[in-house]
Amino acid sequence: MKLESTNEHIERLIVRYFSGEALPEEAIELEEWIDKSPANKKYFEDFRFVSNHTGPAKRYVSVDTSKAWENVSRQMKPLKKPDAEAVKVQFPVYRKRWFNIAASIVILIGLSVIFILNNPKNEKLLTSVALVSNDSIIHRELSPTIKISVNRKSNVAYLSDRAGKKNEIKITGEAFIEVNHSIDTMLLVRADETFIRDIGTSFNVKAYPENNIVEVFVENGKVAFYTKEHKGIIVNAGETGVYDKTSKIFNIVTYSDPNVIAYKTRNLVFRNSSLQEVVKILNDVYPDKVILDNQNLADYKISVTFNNEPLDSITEIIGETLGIQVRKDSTGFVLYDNE
Amino acid sequence: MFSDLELITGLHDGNEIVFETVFKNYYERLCNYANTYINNMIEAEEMVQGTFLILWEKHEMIDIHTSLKSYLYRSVHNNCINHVKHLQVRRNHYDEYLHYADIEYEQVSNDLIGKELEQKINSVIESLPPQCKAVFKLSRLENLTYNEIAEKMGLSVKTIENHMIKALKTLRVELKEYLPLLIWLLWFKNVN
Repeated sequence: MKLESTNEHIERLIVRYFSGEALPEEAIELEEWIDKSPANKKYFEDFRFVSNHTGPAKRYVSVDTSKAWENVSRQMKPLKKPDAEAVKVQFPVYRKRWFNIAASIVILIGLSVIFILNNPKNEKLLTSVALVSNDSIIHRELSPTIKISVNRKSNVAYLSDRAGKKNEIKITGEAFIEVNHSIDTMLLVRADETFIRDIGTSFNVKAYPENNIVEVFVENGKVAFYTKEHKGIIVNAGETGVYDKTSKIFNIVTYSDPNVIAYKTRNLVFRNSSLQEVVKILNDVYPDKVILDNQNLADYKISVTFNNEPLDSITEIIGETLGIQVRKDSTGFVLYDNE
Repeated sequence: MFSDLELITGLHDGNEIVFETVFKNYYERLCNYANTYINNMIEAEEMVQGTFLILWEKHEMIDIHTSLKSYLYRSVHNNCINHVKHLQVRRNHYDEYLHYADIEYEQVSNDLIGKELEQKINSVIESLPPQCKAVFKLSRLENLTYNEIAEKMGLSVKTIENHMIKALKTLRVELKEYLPLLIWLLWFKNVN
């Protein structure tokens, strides 16, 4: 029997393992042997049984990996703080495109830090990008087929194999993703405990850790939205998929806020909205601040559409429409009336 | 699935996806391995989690020339050795450790397996040749390492190892009738 031919060596390894004597390479060798057959596993488990019942606290306690991961990911410090000096960008010589993108982003984003590493020495290369956004919105081409806009206070990790076929994005916070449909591109997005599998589309994911829900708004195409335990739902264009982290229930909402992806497009639609609401949204979308000089202005109502206008034009239009004044000072654009 | 080399590059880069993948692949086994040194699964888990957190924080310094698996087992092994040394210092200063060992042993006696198995185990241990029995008790009940037992008894480490193999093999054979319960449980677990 095969078991007996390797018996002595394996027995020695098993006993060393349960006596707390196994060196790393011995533990690895033993585990590889266990994986080879159910009979091997049974043999090992017999020894575990004996071991568990003859020593102090050697009983097998099962380990909950998901729970442990939750605990670890909570303690993981964000790698790149915007004000940290650890800005490291390596440009692979053979891919000039990365240089252009990276360079333009470094200039554009300022406060956000981008970290790219492509090691030209490695045969099986993978592309790995981390985007961390605090106070700015990052627009980025991750691959020729995938574009992303990362909202404030969000971070994104991206991973792709060399051919760009397998792609994974992990979102903490909010991001808008556009994928040009291609049979060759597979994209899986992780947000909190949920997964979003793209079926050639553009969609927005909102998964701030402090919120109890994960939202996926689909602009074009459709996506599969699911978790490990739940096969989830298909979300079509114009719909928003909502996942409740407490009840673990998926829902589809057809109503959608016209400004949900305004942080990316800067296309804003206001329908009889209060000035207070308008100002709040403008402050979410634009880096400069808009301030109401006094609370009396908060209830003014306005209906207006802006297509990627600069903030000074927007405040000017609001001022003209409502008959109020605008001034710019060190704090931003201040809306005030003459009284 | 990403290759080892891809995973190592991703770890070096501090990519969260890679980090999560590696964590989920190796966590349970590393905990089991650490537990063989530490004899306390809660501490073993804390230690493995700590090992991963350091890996995350020092990602740029990661320089792996072996396989990823060897690197992880080696890191956990080194941390275990440090942990055990730390415990030994504690053990030398207070008698706390033995007290703690007593409590744990009592818990074993109280669990589902019952008195009958306990009696059987004790009688098998008592029936071992004197030296073999002494080695086994020092290892299992006092948690000494092969080296420590060898020093204490004036024997070679190899002899200690042989005694341990003999003791555990004897127990396995003698406790055969209790083992089917385990197979049944394992089978049941796999079905679910």
